[in-house]
Amino acid sequence: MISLNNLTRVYRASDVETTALKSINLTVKEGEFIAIMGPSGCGKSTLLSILGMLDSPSSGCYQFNGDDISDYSEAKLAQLRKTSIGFVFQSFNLIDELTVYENVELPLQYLKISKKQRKDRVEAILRRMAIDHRADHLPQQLSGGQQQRVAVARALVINPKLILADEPTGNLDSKNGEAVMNMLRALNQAGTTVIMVTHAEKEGNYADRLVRLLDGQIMVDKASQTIDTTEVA
Amino acid sequence: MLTNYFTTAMRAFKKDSQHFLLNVFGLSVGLGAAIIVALFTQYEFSYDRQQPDAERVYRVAQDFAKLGMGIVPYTQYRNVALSLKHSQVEDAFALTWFGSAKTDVKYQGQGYKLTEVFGATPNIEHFINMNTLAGDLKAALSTPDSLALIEFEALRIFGNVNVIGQMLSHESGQFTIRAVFADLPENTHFAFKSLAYKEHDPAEVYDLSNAVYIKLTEQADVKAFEKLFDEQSIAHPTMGKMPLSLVPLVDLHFTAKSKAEFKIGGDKQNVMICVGLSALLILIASFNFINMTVAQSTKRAKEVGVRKALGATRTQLVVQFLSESVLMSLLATVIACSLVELVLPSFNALVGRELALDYGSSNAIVIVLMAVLVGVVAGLYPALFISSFSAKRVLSGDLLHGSTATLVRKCLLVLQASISIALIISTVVMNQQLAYLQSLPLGYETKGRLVVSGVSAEHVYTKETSVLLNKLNNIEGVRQTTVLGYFPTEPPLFGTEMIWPNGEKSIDAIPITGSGFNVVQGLGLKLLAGRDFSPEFSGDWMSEASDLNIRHVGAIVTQSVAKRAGFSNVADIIGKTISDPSPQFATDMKVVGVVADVIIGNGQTELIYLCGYPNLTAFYVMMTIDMQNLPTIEQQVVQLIGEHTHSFEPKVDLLVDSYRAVYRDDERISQVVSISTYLAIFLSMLGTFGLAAFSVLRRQKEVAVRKVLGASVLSIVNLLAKEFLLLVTLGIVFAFPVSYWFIADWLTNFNHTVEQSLWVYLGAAGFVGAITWLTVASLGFKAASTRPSLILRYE
Repeated sequence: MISLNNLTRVYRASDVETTALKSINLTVKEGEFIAIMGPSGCGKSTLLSILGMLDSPSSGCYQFNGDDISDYSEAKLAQLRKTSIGFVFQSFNLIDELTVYENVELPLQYLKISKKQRKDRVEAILRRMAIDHRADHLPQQLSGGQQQRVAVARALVINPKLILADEPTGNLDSKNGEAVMNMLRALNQAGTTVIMVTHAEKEGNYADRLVRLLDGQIMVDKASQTIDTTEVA
Repeated sequence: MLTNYFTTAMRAFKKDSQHFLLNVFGLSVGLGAAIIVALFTQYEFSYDRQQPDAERVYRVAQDFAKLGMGIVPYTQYRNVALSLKHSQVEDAFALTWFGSAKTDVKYQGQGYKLTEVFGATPNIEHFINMNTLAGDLKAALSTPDSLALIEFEALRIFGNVNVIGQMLSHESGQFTIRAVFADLPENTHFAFKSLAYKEHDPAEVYDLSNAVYIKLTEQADVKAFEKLFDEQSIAHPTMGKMPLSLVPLVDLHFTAKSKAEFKIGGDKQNVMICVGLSALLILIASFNFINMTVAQSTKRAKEVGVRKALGATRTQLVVQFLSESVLMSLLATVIACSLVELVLPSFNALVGRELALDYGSSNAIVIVLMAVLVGVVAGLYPALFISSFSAKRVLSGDLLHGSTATLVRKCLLVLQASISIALIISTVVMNQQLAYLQSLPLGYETKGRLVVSGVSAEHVYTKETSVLLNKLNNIEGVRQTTVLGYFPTEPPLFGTEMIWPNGEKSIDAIPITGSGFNVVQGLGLKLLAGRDFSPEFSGDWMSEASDLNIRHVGAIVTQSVAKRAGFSNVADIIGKTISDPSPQFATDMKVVGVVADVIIGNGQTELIYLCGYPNLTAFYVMMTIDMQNLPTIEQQVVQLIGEHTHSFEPKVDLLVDSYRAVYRDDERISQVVSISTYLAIFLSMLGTFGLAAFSVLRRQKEVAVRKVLGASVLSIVNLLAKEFLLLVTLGIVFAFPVSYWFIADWLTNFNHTVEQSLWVYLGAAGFVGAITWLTVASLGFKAASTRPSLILRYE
């Protein structure tokens, strides 16, 4: 599904050059659940942004579904992004001025889906996330766990092939965090590819595969122990 | 999607209502000013466009420069016939001064004065869009002793407009009313109130009282025709050849400046100043909008990031934020329209027009378009700026703390400061100039002078003091009366070429006027040499033509005339003779006195007063009075004149008021500039306030830390204000040269001007600086007085 080949991202700020990612080679197959781990500043977020097409590599090749997208125009990237990728963020990033319903509806609007269909799909996903009773509330009126469920609902409403999660449990207590992790696990098992950035080892264990970054380079790329144990079991 | 934009926008406005209100209010004021000025401009350019085939109609102008009168819209009637010989001319029309002979009329024993009476050729409706309410206009203009009345006059005299066939008697007969027509609109240069039958004689060559209008065919070559027409025109028997030219009807409002016009026209420069000022106000309001939106943009950063992640393209985001600013601008327009409704009556009084905002007309579309345009122009930069936020940086929690387009905001503030400073300087200098003009020595007195216009010569302008003049003189509170051949604030329309005492000919016409005895005393002229006209000297009053056909008359000249005649010591001209050699009017003028220059109108100083000279048929009676008796004097004057002259409702003016009216136009424009200045300063301060609020918020932590380290409140306020004062200083650098250039240009309109003084410039700069400091300080004090612990514990 995804193939990164010798990918590098360099930031230039006046005279200082920072290499955030250096010669990354990574292949993601459809249906995988990958956790990207590493200390802060190692390039996790940059990698996720590039995977999510919010940022472009300085050099190297990014293939998505077999197409090289490194020289796609912004409009084309936006098109690909809105049809294929769902984002879940640490700080939820719900739009404060929109209600729960409107937040979840937003990606469908960008997909130009009819109002009737939007209503059906938003209501369905809100029920699935057990947050439908809060549809008319504004984000600030919800607890952190509820907000993250809305954020996940928003990511899922377009039926994405790929979910990118940036420390999805970072701002949650352990109970709510566990619930979100289970949700992602369940999604993955239903066939969605999940790539997640985290620095909690415990969460890494939910994934099939573990990629460890350090100073912009991949140090470890291996199937996680969870997989091992399940295979053993 | 638009609904979504709308919801987001409304909730964002609600969340940050202070900035929203500042923004909307600022835009409203700017837009309101623009709407008013747009109405004014549209009106000023609408003059005479309602007349049939207006764009093909031209008025004949004759150059009377030889008589010292400049370009005047009057010529001989034969030019009508002359023009009709050309195939390029479709039609020609003449409007002729009717004179005051038969304009004092009686109806049922009550006397009325008909003012602005003209004769007209019967084809008037081919040239003027007339609305006949009763009778037949064409018949009225082609039947002798007929009168067509304007609605206003019909109502005044008869109380209704169905007066066809009614008679008005005058001294030598009576008029039959054959038509009543609707009042003329304000936006035309025509200003007649009654039209009387007038016999036109194409062979007549002396009479120069016809305003001639020519309608050219659609194919006509105007320039070529004008040249041909001028070449074929025949010289006036006494005044010689005076060049003819054609002025487009639709340009008359702005271009016709002669004192002899039907009414005072508009001034294109003033309209342009108004347009410029309203553009400045919109600009300032837009700057405020840009500044505040950009400063507040971090609050929307997350939204931009999320929308981008969800697949919004940059274009979609730009459209979103643009529609937000257009929405705000439309909202501001609604408020602006209410402001306009509130202010329009006062503005109308200021500019002397009848403007109205008509939402049913194209006005509404223009206003909406303007609102959208302002929304797009003001919103474009903020939209581009906000939509450029990197989704990656925003979403990885790194909400923008760095650049918020500081450079752009600073530049805009600098511009605002310079506009404010420049406007203050302009206001002060304009007011100084007007005060200066009004304080100039005029050479004559305006205080305590009452002028009665249009009293026929036979009743007051006689060598032996007439009964009427005696009675006027005996009214209680009247100290002195004299008779004048011109209105003291309006240049005499008549002049002639002279032969000076040394035998040399004057190069151009020298203005002359008739006057009664004791003119020096009556007008309060300053006598430099010689004496006043007096009945004691029998040679002063003009004699009948002698056998050589030369008339003799006593003359008082102004200093400039004496110098023109070659007398550097003005007393030497006393007793010498200046002569007018023209065959019809040959006159020897014996100089009996020299007076200081008189300033008339726009600064004319040459004038010869001739005792008993008949330059008019109706004269001006100047009365020196005690002001406390004014009401009774006015009443008795009207009564006496009615009894003695069959002249009703005479025009009586206080000279002080007439003098003030001369500068009315300049006063008006100075007031418009003043008001714009207040608005501009107000808007700029609104902007500074918004930005200062933002800056204070951003520097909260810095302020708290400084306080902990021992900074005083004042030092913190100054620290916050320094940033803004620096920008004002930069603004000064731009404002000074621009205002200097602009004002110097405006001052060239006047003969006598004030110097631009440095203190005005420094004062304006200091004022803007002080206001800025106060604005920032009002917020800074609050920030600096907050207990640091309240701020720091959240960090």
